[in-house]
Amino acid sequence: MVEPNTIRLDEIRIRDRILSGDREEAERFFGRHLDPLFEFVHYRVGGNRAVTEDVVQDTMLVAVERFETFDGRSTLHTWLCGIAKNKIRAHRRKKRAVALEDVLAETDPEIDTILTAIDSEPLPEWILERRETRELVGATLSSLPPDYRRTLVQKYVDGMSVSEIAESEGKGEKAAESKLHRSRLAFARVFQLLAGRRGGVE
Amino acid sequence: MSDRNVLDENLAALVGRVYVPVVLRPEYRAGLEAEFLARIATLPGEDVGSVPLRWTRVAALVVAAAALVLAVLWIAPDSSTREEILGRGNVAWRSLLREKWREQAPAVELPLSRLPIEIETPARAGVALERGTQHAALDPDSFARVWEGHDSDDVDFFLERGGITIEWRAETAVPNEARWRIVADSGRVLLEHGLLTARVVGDALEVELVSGSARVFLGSGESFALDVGERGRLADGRFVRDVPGEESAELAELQDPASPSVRNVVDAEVEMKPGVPELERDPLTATVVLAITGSDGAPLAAADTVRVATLLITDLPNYETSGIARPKLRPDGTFALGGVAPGRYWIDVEEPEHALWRGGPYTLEPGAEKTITVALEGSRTVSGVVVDPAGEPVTGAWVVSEHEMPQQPIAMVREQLSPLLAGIAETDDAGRFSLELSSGEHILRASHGDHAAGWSETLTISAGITIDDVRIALTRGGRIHGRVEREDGSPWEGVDLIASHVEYGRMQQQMSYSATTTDAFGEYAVSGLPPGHYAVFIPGVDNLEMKFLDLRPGGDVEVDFTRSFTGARVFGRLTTPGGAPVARTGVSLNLKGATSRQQDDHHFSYSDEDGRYEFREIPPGDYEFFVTPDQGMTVLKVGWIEVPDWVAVERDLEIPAASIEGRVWDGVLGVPMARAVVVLLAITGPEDSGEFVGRIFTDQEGRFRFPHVQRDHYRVVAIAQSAVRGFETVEDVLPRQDDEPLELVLFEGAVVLTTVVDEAGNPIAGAGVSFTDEVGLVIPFSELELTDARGAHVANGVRPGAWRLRVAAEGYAPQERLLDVTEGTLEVKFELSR
Repeated sequence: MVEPNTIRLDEIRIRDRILSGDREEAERFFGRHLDPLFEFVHYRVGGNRAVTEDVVQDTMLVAVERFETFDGRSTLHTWLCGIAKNKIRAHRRKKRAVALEDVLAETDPEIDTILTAIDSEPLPEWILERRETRELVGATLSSLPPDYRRTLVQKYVDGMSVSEIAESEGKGEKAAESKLHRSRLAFARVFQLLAGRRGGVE
Repeated sequence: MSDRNVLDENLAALVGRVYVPVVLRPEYRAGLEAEFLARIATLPGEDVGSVPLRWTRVAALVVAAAALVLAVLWIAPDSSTREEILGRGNVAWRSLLREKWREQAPAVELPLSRLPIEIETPARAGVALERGTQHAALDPDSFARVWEGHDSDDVDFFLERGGITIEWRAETAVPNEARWRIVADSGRVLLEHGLLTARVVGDALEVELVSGSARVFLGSGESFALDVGERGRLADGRFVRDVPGEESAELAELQDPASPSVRNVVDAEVEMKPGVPELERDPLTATVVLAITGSDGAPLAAADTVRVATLLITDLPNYETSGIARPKLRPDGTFALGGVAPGRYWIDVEEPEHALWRGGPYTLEPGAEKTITVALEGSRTVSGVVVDPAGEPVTGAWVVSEHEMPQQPIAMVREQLSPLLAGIAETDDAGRFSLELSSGEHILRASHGDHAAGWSETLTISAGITIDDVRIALTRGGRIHGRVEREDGSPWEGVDLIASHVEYGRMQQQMSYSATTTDAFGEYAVSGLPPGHYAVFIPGVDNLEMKFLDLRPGGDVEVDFTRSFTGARVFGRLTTPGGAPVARTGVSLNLKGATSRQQDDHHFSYSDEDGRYEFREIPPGDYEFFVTPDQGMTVLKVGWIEVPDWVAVERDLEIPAASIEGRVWDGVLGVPMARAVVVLLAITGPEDSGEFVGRIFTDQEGRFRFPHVQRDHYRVVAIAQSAVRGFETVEDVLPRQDDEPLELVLFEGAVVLTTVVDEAGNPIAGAGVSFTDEVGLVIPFSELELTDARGAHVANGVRPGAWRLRVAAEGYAPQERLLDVTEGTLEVKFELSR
């Protein structure tokens, strides 16, 4: 576990290189963080593409202005998501507030019960075909750290083996296996949390 | 099955089968990346003002020179409109990805990016645009859209107003390389290499190939090459060559002398790639689709007569015409207008057989289509007479319906009206007018220079009712006058004031205004004003003081203002020693000794055709006066001005005519070095570090020329922009006339790797590293002359020769070492002790 007062030097170095005008580093930063950020926002604004694009754009450009303030106490992804959350909140304030009973009325208690048992019961086929399930999966993945998300996509979408994942990351098989295990657990925990709340994505 | 296997199976199903990644639009990704990287490039970095003191003046001045060169962009406050920016004499531009307008000094080049941008230049200044070997200059009072092709690096200029010159500085045409094109409704002109100019003239685009080669592409698919020196006009889908000495019937036809003077309109805002049969949807702009029926209820079949105006709502109730264009008729019978910037709009549709139609407000989203149903009505003729206060008919008064005016507030002077579709009628010798209006309520306004404006009663226009007895009485013009003075009572010349007339209790609130400027006595007067309630104020000041008054017919009211001093007016004339004006040249005032990029320390302006320049609101202080010809590529100091703490100072400057020119070579490759920085320093002796006089970039052939140089002794320093070459210095240079130009050769610079450790061998981070050359100048090789966390410092591009290397760290005794630097890498290790 990372201590609260630990400074992530590698992230600080990235920040410094970008601030000193290293264009390649800035390009890498952009390429690495845009898609996870986009997904993060997408599921938190109801999938509205126009709003997502606006929020992500604002977030990235605010990040440029505030790069100097990044202190390495979180990852750059978390830091970006923090900025995005403020933007999302501002967007939500402009919309009509949704009454809690409206949200609750949309939930299906039976689905929720099934989905919260993701780590102990196989999911029935009909659950997989529900739109709500697809949204939950996307929201869950978007909430994970980018490397956990990447590992799960490599494993379950790209069909890579553990050794192939290890090679792509430049790590040993043991480390890759361990990372995959942690990613699975993280997914399950977040998925259960969201399925339990259903409609209250934080 | 174990829990772990269950989880794995479920994940395989959820992530492997159910999960659908969110896909970004490629255009959005590319556009945002370009904007992101462009912003990164403009980050302030280390404040030059806090540079360690061991930098010499040379280094600091070189950095200051670089600061003058770099695009000194400042973000205008969110409330600055395009008009406010232009009113300050600066260039207004905005990315089409965002709506906010930005401000830039006209003498500073505007870097292009992949992002589409709109650019408008003020009345007296143009702007340069540059990317690589391609160079463009937008004339003063011009408006253009610039963007890169989605599938290529081609750059398109869509010129709406004014003129542009584009130049491709390649020796010969380069196949398959990115091109620059000027795009118009009727076709496009692609510059293969050389220099091309274009100018909007009425409804046509006038083009001239000055040198090189270019090709014209028409919407019909026809294309042909232009000859050097050839001129012609693109309009109505044709290109008409301009044959000198011959009267061309086609040219005469294009020039339509019958068009009313207020219809100074360039058809724009149609699809960005003319000639394409299907409207391409641009993800950054909106498309308006109009389903138009005529007064008979049948769909309109022809597009030639329909015109659409988009009226951008700035803040209610204000709006302004953002474009007037002819929409394209689509196969399904609807009309489409593409390329509209996102925003909220009123939409006006005009068709000569019908009344003006207005709808909205509509919100136009980027990449989206907005379909609007337009049911045109037959117009109704409203006629009447305009009389003066004595009841006599007035000839030449202009009459409009305020309901159909697209501009708010409405100018009282006809020349100040923006382009509009609404009709304007002029009274004949009998004072009679006739207007075609739509159904509904209208209030007509009549204006004539000799009188104050008058208004009609509210007219209700509908089918079957004839209105031909409207009577509008012009009133005796009233006058508002007064004086603007400073706190000490002295007169304030050159202050702009606005007298704004507001009418309430009408169909809708209407504002009219008249503007003026104080004279040398600080006095102003506005005449010909209609009676009513007025607000008089000085625009653009922080503490807005607005004075209200009631003006009777023919009344005369005095309103005075006292303003706090906010800076002097500095003006004068630039001439050559022969007395010729130095016209259309960038000029700047820079506070002496300023090395920061703070806006207050640098002021930019432009000389006019007569060489006259003017700066407003300059704080007191000593300033260096620079000229920046070549749109900021060259920076040259030509004098000093002491700005006092009073209203104005006039300073005429004679720009010297001598020059220093030369060429910079890459000594390793044996080729001219383009984009090398050449710095000019005035020196009094060999030990003098030199006073910064100017800076220039070498062109594609490695050549440079400082055009206006005093008779003095100079040091010329050439520096490669990349760090892999050493720099070169030539001493005791005098301005030359017929001699051979200077030759500066930059050879391979060496790499000096310095490591600093303590007695225990531990690296010392943050130790200062300085290099002093044979002349005694301390030359910086990186922005921070400090060792990193490993105690290391790398200096690239060190000129071979003798150097003194000094290392100092807090708490340790400093050390020096003499180095004989040759090509390659030299490693130097220092072990410091306390």
